[in-house]
Amino acid sequence: MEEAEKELERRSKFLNSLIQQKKKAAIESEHEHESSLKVDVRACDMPLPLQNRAFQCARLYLESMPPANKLDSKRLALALKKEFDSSYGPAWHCIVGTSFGSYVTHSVGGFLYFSIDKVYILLFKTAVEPLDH
Amino acid sequence: MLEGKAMVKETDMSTKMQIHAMASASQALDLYDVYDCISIAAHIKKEFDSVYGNGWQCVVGSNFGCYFTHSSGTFIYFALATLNFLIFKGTSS
Repeated sequence: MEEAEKELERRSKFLNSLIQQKKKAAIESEHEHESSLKVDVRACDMPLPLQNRAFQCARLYLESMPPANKLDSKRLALALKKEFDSSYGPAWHCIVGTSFGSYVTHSVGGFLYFSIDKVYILLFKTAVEPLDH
Repeated sequence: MLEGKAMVKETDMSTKMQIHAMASASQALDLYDVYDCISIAAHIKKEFDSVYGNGWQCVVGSNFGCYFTHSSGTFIYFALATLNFLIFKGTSS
């Protein structure tokens, strides 16, 4: 019976070891994935806190997608626009893609063009006109 | 000269304005290389700013998705040659 206890204990330790290894691997994998999502600011007229908010939002979205999935530019653009409209007031506009050029007019302090991983993101704000009705 | 026919994908613009948008894009493609998306976008935006008032935005490219808020009756998305064009008036200031 004592021998059986020892065997159980040995198995228990082995399983714990496996679990720890798996957790460690998962954490390392996360870090790897995170470090691969490098942010490169290409043009900017925006306070730093808002920039960081945009980076965080984009990074969270990209990380939440399974790696095999193709980028859904529209959904990422929607996520960013909604985040900024609700946090910093309307009206924000967001363009996401791998191949585009643009020419825009934006509010002071409301323009950010950056790349993260292989995606380019343009986020900018325009003033809201009061309705004339 | 049109490099192939323009195809409107989505719009809420008047027909007249649509035609103007596509003519402006066609003109820009005559002036600039298809790889120079920024100059093409700039050409169209400046045209619309001068004719219909400030606050126009233009995006040109072969791979992009976007989300935006636009004034009523000021939005068009169309394809011409190898490029897609998005023109809209964000509420102006």
